[in-house]
Amino acid sequence: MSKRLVLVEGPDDVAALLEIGKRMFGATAGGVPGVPSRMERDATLTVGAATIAVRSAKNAKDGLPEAVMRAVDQLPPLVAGDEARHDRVAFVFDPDGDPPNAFVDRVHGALGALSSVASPWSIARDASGDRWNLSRAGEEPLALRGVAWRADGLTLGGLDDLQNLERLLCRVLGAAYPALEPMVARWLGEVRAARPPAKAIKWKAAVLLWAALVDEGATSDAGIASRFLGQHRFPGGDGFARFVAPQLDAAGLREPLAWVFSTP
Amino acid sequence: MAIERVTIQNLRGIRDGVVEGLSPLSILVGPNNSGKSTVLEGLWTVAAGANAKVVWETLLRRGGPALHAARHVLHGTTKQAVAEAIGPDDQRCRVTLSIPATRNVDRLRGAREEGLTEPMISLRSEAEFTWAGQQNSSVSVTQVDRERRFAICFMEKGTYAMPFPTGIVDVEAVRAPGALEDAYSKLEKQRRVARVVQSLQRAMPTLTDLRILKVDEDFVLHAIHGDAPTVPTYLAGDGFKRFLEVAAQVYDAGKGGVVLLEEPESFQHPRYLTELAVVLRDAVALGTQVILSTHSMELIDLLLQRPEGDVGPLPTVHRLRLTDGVLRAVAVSGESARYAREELAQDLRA
Repeated sequence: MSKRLVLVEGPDDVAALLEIGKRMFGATAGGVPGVPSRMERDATLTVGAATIAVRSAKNAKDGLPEAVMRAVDQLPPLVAGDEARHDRVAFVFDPDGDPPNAFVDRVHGALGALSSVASPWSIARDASGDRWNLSRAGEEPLALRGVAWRADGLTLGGLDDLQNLERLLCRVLGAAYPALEPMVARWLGEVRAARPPAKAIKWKAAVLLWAALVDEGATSDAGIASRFLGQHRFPGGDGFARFVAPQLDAAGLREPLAWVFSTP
Repeated sequence: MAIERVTIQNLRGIRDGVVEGLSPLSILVGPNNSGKSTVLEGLWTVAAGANAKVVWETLLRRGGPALHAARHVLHGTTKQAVAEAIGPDDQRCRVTLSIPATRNVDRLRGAREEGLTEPMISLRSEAEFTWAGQQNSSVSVTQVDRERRFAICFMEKGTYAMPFPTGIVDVEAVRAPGALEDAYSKLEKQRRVARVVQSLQRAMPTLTDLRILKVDEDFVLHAIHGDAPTVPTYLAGDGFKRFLEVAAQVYDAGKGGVVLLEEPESFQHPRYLTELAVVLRDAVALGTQVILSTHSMELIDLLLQRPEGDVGPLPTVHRLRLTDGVLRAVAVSGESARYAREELAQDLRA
């Protein structure tokens, strides 16, 4: 038995992890296979003997470092042989335009508070920068890891070079509909050019344009991550296998996500 | 280098149509909704070539909500429209239009927060020509128009330039800042300012000249009335402005050029109408092709009059009928048009 906790920025991340967990790692969500919730802030997945709780931070990305620290601090004692023991905690975030490791450094800073709590934790940060081993006296160790949404290389309509889930979605949609990508790029470019520099257009807008273009039934941005990471009827059969998984691989996300979802 | 024939498929109300026998001065007549403006718009899109913005403005100039207007560029439920101008020796300029996507993205919840406040439209315009030994082609789709509150995507490959200069004047009076000054510059370049002033004097006898003057930081075309204070021409009547615009386009097109005019008689005082006919005949004599639509029997009469000593060709009159999307055009050459005047008059008065 393994219990894991994943802290994320918000509902889109929850939805994305539900889709990826279900389709790439055989997870079931909410006890009902194949019906992941759309805009939930929290969810529970099961993979084999592992139970994975996914929770949104209160204040999105800004609140994530503190949410990670508090979640770790509030874990029940990690006792060997205890079926309820957590062995892994992850946090999933958008690096956006931050310098490399800037956000994980913020998380590391927040974790510092754990050394002064009533039952203090010892914290060892891995050389990679985004992994930690934490332990409390007399308890089993806990592994903590950061997972960054990213989609390197994609440029679209002159949008800022930010790394986030929305960019990954754009990458998937671009792979699925290559003939439409120039149209989205041009739309974005033109909207961007007509806008004051202070009102930068975001990758979220790009996803919305894609949604308007390829998903005529779309009425809102709700559930966009769910749709385009699996539920959307992509051309030519299994869209996840054909378009999503290759993009996760290209972004180097398979390995960290496997760390979150792998069967113990 | 004249356009002899224009064919239209699936553009607006015309499912299929051809206008043949176009001459150096071609007059399109017919009742309202007989396809005259669509024929001109087809030619305008051909003339615009790869300049998709111009194509777009041409197609949306009739107004209406952007998405509706875009969808009604194409006839019925068809997927693409084609307009083609054909010249001597089967020379061709052709534009194919399609609307691959129109979306009300602004109606998606969350879109407004991201600043996507306009419907998104894409227009695909493929232009190609084989004319006078030149060959070229391009693909384009147009861009954002914030004023009309839509965004259009635009993609360009290659370049395209019409193989002959083209001028276009529609029924709108010139109101855009700088347009009158631009018209004046064209006339000055062609050394036609004095000629046009002479025409304008017919209805404005005190006018002695036109001149661009600096006002604060702006350059503004002024009407000069002898020693009286100068008057900015943007204050002038619509007939004055439109006459200036038509004359500028006609003279600027020059030899081998083509000018397309939509109802040039609009806003015109009868005296200007007489002068307009003179300007058009002048241009034709210089080797410019003029294709115009009109509802004015007076203008047709003026154009059909052959001035003393003029041995140039008389205009052709093309009577258009549109039935169930099929455009039929009967060409009547100048001499015959004189004899068919009563019939034409009935056509225009019906």
